[in-house]
Amino acid sequence: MHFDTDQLREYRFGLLDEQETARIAAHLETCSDCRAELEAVGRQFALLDLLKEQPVVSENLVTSVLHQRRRRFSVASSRMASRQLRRAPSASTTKQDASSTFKRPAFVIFAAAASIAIIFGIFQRGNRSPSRSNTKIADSSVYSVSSVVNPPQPTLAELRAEKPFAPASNIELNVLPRRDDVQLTIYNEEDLTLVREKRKLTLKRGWNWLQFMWSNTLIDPTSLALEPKTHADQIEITQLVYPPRLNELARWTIFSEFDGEADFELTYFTSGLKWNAFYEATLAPDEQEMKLKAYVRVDNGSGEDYENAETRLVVGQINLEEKIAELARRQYAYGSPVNNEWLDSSHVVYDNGGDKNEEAWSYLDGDALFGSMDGYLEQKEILKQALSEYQLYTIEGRETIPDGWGKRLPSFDVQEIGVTNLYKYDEQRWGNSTMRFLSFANTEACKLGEDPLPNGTVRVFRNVDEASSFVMPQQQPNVHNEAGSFVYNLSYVGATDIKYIPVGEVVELELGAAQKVTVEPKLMRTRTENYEFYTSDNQPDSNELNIFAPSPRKGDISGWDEITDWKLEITNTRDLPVEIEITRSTNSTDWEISTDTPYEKYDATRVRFTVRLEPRSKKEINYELTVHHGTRSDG
Amino acid sequence: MERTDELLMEAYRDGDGSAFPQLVCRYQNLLYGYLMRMVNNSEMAEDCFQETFLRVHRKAHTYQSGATFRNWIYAIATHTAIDTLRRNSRRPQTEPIEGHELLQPDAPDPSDDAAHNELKETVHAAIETLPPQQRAALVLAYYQGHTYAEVAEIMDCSLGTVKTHMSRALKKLSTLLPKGGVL
Repeated sequence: MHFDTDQLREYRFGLLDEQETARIAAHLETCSDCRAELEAVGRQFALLDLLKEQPVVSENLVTSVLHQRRRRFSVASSRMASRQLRRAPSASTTKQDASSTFKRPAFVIFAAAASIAIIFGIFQRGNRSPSRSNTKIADSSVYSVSSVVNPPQPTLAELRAEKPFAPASNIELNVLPRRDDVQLTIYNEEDLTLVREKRKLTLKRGWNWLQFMWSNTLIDPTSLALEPKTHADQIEITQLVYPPRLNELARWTIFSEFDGEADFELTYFTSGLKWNAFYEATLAPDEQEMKLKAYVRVDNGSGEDYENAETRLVVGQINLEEKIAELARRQYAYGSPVNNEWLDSSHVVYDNGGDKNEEAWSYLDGDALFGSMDGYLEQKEILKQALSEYQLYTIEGRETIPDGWGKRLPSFDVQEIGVTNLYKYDEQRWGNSTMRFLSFANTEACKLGEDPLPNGTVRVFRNVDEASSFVMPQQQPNVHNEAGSFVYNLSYVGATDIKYIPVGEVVELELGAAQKVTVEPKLMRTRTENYEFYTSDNQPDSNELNIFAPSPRKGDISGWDEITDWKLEITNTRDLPVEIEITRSTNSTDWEISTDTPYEKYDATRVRFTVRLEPRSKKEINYELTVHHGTRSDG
Repeated sequence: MERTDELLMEAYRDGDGSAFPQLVCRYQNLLYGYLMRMVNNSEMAEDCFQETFLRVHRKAHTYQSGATFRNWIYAIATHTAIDTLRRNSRRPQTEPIEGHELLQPDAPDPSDDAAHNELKETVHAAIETLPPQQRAALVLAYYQGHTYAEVAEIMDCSLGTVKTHMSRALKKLSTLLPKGGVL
């Protein structure tokens, strides 16, 4: 009996059960034909080994995978996202086993591990390798040479005289030190952000190099600056090189007189980080007061994640080059801004008055925007500091702002700001529409006035009592929710953009055309009177000299009055009293007006009436406008 | 102390973004090799490679502590590759295998290289005729060094099914590969 080829093949590849395997094995010991057949099977399938060669993945592919992850981050599940936010990765130094088969790609991986990657390495020097077992970085399995006897260490002079190798050719160790600290100063007007990072680097005695990559980020590579913050007297940063033919990569050459860790500060500019202020104004039912909530939204399109960053926002129109350069030169300490010495005692800190819930910055609103962010509900403060020409806002604590994300942070929340409602009617500016304006002052009297207000969009809502909008609010019982605040239905009133409002200035919000307050001017009568005539020929009117017009003759009209009677019908269909300012143009500089209604001569050609209308009422303004022409005119 | 794959994946699942590049680093060549053998087209292999890691990222929250990461990621890669193969089944794309380096002056005999490459092509072509499941079983077991039990876990099927796939794959290959083997 012989086994067929199929059985032998399955035997060869271990596909048979134990019993069958044992049976064939026993048979093969005695059957040379089956052994020959099995060898033939082995030879045939040895061809498969031709493909055992391991293809090597391209560096570009790995880089794109890592960036792809970053790009897709924003669409990750909320669970992941919230986890990502809840648990800030611990600062640690990543070590790689360069002895693995991924030696070369490992270099690339870490170069691309973040859009900004720092690769730190040591110039290889054959006779120095064993000494690495002494250092912390020698813990890596790359340097599992503890049994090697250390040779005498070269002197610093010898080390210094040694020419550094080109790093890419001999990478022994790749370390991607995490940022220990990062500070962002976002200057919105010019789309520029100053980034100050603190990183711990492990240096080797002698020449070291540090590689910085900024692929897919908006970093200005010419602004890179590196400075040792510890062991400064033992570390010398000799040069920053932008190697040819290598894009988005720079290398520092660093000479260290010691083995061990040192703190470095890395500074650079990037764009793509933006912040915008926006406001939510909620009018009380009587519209005499409002609550103003301000938010700051920070958007990160820089291509880089910034974790646990101290975020500072620059407000105000400033000379960018000078001021940002000044910022770059400042030696601001890291850490909590509260403890920083540089914070001027004159800066404004919102006083919580012992009740944080009242005044401090609640994170709850940001939560609504970004989904579940458990653990991020602690109160936030924004410290505001006036720096010469501009205002610097520092968001309390740390923010993690991944690339592609926006984050809304509450800025302030002020209750009971006195506001002025005014409707305006001016045909020359707005046609037949009555415009609604809301004004308040950035002053202490209005419970503001502590800081300038950054430019941004204001959305105005009005609390409308849910029972009936036809009943005056004061007649309504107060309805409270569990938190003790009033419960009203909100109605959207309008939105407008405001410019930067310095302290003391009045903010006037144009809320668009009003539908319930209307002004309808009616021309009731027009006539001319008080004609004057020339009493002799060739008596040119000096005021109306026209060389092309024939000279007037005796009896020609030299002047007259044009009299128009106007009726302005003003209607208020709102439930509230309104004040309306009506501006009427006379189209002349020489006019008189006759009316029972008080008016103001606004300028040479315009007259302005300001009237108050009770709820659901109408009013009429009648006036007679006399415009003088020709010799009737004073001019 | 270097973290295991499983610890890295758990860390990444729990929000440590720095673990991801390390996992990519560890598996890049293994997975790329696997995908190249599966789809036999560098462009498609690259797409699968990207898709695999994207799925790792997306499915990170489904990773169970204690599961073997290697099997988990291979399962993702296998699904990706099989999806790709099915999508492209109507328009097979093949290309010469990598490794056609310029012949060195001291190369033994150019004709040997040519014959060698021709044989490699033959093997590629033979593997390419296998249905996706059989191909996955063969590549995982033979080239990637997984046991049949691991292949069963990766392919989410029984051990018997894996052996059936493997047996059929080998039988098909036996009709396509030259009987003489490597010359």
